Amino acid sequence: MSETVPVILAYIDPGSASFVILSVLGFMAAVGYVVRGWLSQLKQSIFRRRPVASASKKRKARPAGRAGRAGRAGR
Amino acid sequence: MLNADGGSFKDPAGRVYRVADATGEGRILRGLNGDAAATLEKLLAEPFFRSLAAAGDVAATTLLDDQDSAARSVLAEGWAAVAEHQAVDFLTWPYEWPFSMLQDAALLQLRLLETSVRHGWILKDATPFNIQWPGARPVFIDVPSFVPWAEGEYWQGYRQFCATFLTPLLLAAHLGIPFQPLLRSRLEGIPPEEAVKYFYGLRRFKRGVLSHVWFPAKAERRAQRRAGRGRPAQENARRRQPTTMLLALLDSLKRLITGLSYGPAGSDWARYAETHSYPPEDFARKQDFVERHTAARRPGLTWDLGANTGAFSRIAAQHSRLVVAVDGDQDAVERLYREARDGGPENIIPLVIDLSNLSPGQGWAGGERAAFDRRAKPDLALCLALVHHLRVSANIPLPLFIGWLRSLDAAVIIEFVGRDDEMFQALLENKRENYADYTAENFASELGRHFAVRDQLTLKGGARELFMLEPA
Repeated sequence: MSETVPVILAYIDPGSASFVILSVLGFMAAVGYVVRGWLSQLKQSIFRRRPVASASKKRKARPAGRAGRAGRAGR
Repeated sequence: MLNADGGSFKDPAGRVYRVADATGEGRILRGLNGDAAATLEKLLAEPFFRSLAAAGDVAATTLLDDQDSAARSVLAEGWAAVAEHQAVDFLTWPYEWPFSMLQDAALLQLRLLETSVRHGWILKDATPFNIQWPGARPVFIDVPSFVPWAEGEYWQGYRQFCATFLTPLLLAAHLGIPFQPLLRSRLEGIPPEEAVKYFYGLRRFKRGVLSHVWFPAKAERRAQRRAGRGRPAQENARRRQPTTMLLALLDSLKRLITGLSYGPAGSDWARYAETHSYPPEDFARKQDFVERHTAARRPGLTWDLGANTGAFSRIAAQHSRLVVAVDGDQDAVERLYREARDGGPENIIPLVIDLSNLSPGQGWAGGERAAFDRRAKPDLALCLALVHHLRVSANIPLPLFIGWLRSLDAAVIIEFVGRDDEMFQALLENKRENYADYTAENFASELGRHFAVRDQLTLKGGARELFMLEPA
């Protein structure tokens, strides 16, 4: 019996498990990709919110249409 | 003269031939069967492929007219069509590359794969032997590896990619184990069940190991246990996987490999440029000697044997079409590659090879991956401050080394480090043997048997001698 085992193994394609491996790793990578995308969007929205908020405050105090440019020039 | 390439027999769809044209320059032709020719014609019309070839990422390729005389000789071998590829002056194998060369080759493979998938194609395999170095930049040469990809088809080259690219890089980056000796003995790479044994205990938690080494090893082991009860590989090939999952996996592999690093440990060799034993004026005279003779000869291919961090490879590169810089020290070669890649000169290929144990012929009948000294003859060989190491550290007698140099049939610039030189004395410190045969007289006599001395320069007050030689 022990002599037949290596013979059987030699006929098994080691790549036969590849589909399962790729399905699991692909799924994990896709989840990671989506999570990273969310995190990146979250960071961007936080980063954007601050200047937008400050600009809107200044906009109230300045004439419309020139607020943005004037605000940046003043920094 | 038509020579079938010893390493191109595995793909039944084609065969590579080397043909010398009228000027003696080598042309790389590929005979293709009908299906492969039709696929290649379609590929060559794809804008994404043209962009890759224009950027130098893929070897420039054209389908030849049947009237081309070289093409006719390939067609006579029974092929349906003939393609011509951009020629590479000197082939190198992954077990000769330093860490960053394998890393850059892996990133090129992933980039090409991602671009292909986005355009309805895929690379059917993933081996670093499909990547070559015209200089300090990789190019993908196995164009028939591009095949049409059906939406959702899974990536069959993943296992090969891990065995030949990723695992060797993980071993070097995480454990400091050089991958070259492993890849030299296993041309198909390091399989997961073997790799997992290096990453025992807490080592398995190092970045990328659980996913791409430990888990595949377990899954393959389970498949083997279920022998005969699992799905056959051909059935697996028909299974589908969402494209997003494949692209996400490629992206994660790219980030993993980019994040791996191998830091030269600061060996004496890697710091050679700062630590060599030459007084500045003698070092300048040595540089001038090398520059003068390489400039006068303008060699096509120069070998710098014992190149270290490439101080003289750079000089030779100014006057040579290509310099192959060889040294056994990983750190020195790694440093040379990074410098050549990032700041030039680009016509240097740095290789990690122990000169007392050159890469032998490998693969089927020893002809699949040619031995280092059987690939292409150099026009010029530099052997600067090398002979004393081969004699004392590697115990290679002078007649053997000089005889081998003569077999190259090339001009040679060689340096003899005398017995009084402090570097020779340092080598002797831990040796019982005195190497009495290592004398200037014996060296000159051995040179005289094989070469004609065209020029000579004495340095360091007579402790060292430079020779410009031509085959006698």
